[in-house]
Amino acid sequence: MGRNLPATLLWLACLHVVGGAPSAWADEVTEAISAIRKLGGSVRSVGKEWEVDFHLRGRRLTDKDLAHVAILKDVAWLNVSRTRITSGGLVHLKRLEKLRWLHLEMTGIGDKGMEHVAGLPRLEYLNLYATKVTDKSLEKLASCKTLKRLFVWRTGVTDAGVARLRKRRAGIRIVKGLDLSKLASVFPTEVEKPKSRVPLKWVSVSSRDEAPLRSENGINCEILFENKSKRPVKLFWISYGKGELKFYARLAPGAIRKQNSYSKNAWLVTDDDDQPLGYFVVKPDDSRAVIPGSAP
Amino acid sequence: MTTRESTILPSRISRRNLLCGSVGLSGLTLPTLLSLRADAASLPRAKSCIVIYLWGGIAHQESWDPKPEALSELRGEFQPISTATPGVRFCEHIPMMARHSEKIAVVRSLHHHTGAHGPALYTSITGQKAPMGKAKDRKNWPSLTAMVSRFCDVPDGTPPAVAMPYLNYDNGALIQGQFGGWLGVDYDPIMMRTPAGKPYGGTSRYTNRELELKLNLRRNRVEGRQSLRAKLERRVGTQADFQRFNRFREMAADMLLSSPVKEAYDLENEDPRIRVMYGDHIGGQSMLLARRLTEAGVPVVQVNAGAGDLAGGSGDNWDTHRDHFPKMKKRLLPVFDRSISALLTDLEQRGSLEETLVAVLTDFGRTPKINKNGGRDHYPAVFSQILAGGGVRGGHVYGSSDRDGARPLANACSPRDFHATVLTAMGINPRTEVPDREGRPFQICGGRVLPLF
Repeated sequence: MGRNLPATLLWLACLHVVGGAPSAWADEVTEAISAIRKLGGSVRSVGKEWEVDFHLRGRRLTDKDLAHVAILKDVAWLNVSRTRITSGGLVHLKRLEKLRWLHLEMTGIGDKGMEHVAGLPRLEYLNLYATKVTDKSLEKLASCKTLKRLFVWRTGVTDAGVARLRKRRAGIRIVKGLDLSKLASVFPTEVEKPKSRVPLKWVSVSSRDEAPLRSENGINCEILFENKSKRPVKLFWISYGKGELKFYARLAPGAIRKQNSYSKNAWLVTDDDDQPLGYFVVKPDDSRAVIPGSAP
Repeated sequence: MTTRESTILPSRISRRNLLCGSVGLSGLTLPTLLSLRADAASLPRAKSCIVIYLWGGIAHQESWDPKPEALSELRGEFQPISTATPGVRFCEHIPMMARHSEKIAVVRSLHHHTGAHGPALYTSITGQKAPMGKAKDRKNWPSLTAMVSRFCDVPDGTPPAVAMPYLNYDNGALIQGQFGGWLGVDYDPIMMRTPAGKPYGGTSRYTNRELELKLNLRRNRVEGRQSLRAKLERRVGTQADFQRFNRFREMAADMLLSSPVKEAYDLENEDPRIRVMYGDHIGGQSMLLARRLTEAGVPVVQVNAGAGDLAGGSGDNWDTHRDHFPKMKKRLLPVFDRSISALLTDLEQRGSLEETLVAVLTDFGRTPKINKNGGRDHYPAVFSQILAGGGVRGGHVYGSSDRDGARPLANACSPRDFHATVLTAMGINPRTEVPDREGRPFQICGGRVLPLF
């Protein structure tokens, strides 16, 4: 966080040399910056203005702490989202006459004090998402002539309130966001439907040599293995290249297993003593591989 | 964490440039200073960036640049649909993105000269021609993700860049260009897996051997492990390699213990309805996690959308040499459309889209000609990529391709130009010089900034 300090001091030095700013004010600014940093906030100089941010590491920020920000005056961008501020702190913002972007989302603010925000002469962006504001705030904000974007998702603001503000101030883009209660009907929780699966052919074998030498590459698909025999079996994938056996799972009698695979892959089934019982070669579609009950 | 060139005024002027141009501060006249400041103030500036990489090469014809007028044997079976922007049409299978067109700038005239996946990914993600070398060679050019993170301040315990859910492989070979390259190991994006979501059908057979963070460890276990490590280290000593390894371990521990990143990683904290909106698969949940991580202060997150290994185009990735149309229609486009449009909706309603740049990159386009297996093959001569948010002007198409989608028709541009645009949106001057590990200065990009702001 201290990385910006040299730049800040340089900027203050410029003010001294170029503008002849009173040193008392410069001292006050330096103190305010260090107080903000102590609270976990960050201050960056951009152009002639400041960007002040508390939302990552400065969430302990309270109403009275906003007084430090007010001292900087030339703040163009302020993010106090997710902090502990309430409506009582908004009074400090009225000094920030150059403020264009204000993030107040996910804080405890409500309608009280919104007149201080509405009175900001250059405010363009205001984020009030997940706060307690209602249509009353929107009425106050109608007087903010510069406002262009307003975010009010998950607040007490109603569609009627938004419509009223739009009527008075057509130039504001108001984002009310999704109605989550309706979202469930657009994206219902997906219940997996049983897939139509092609059956894979079971080929009985008594030794490894009778099964395919190796798997070939193909397209991706899913196999549903079902063990209908009366004893547990082991499932091996026959690898590409050298055709090594790679153990995947042990299936108890009656067990099923979904397995990602590729067409032309070969799967060897053995008993618990690794004695081969049979194999499947995968088809290029989702499939069902039944280990038959009559397997020895 | 990061060492920046200078934090004075115009946000991304290097110390070197400042000194060269002015012989120190004393030579910097007031008008120059003020004009530089004015430039800085007028530039758009995103605070964070989500890079979505479509591994395998998405067909431009079946996404952002439909070609209904193409010759019948080239046209394909999909129809174009109108979008929220008059005159702009997308493919019919990305209807949700069509509704978001007012937020998107589409670049339809990108091209490069590399038709193989590995070098094409390198060119697309670094903006440079691919050298012959190892995937993690420190002479490689940094990825866009790594480069952007180089210029971002991050709070302690926050990774400067994260990539997920898989690294990109081609038939088992890890691809060059996905790391920090000559910027050094500090800028290698940290790999993460999503804690939830079904895998893509073509889950990588090659698991990442890199650091995989399991952020669901309990605090007391992490602290127990830290104290055990401290005891062991007293015996082993502190060689340079060991210290470098330590950096990752410390970062991992910080992430496990520090609340914002850990909190972001825990998708259980997200409203279940929002989670459903993104889709219950690793692609959608990765995009959700990307949003949560950028909110938690991670400046750049890369989502590799598609299975990690191309495996000859057989998995769920964009390398559709076979059965292009059914695969795009059934598996790839619906998943992608739903999750990326959920990301844009979600960023928009939280008011963070204007400060979050979403950049969608891919290897290349696909051939106008449909091959005998019903697929389209690699095609770098023209392809499309998109940008959204982060101060980029939406509802905008830059450049065009010809009738068959075979060549750029107007405003041809390169991946390097696309990078210059992304860097500018992030407030980084693409002509900034940065020293490599040996102290040699490199211009970070040098491309032409596309007029998308």
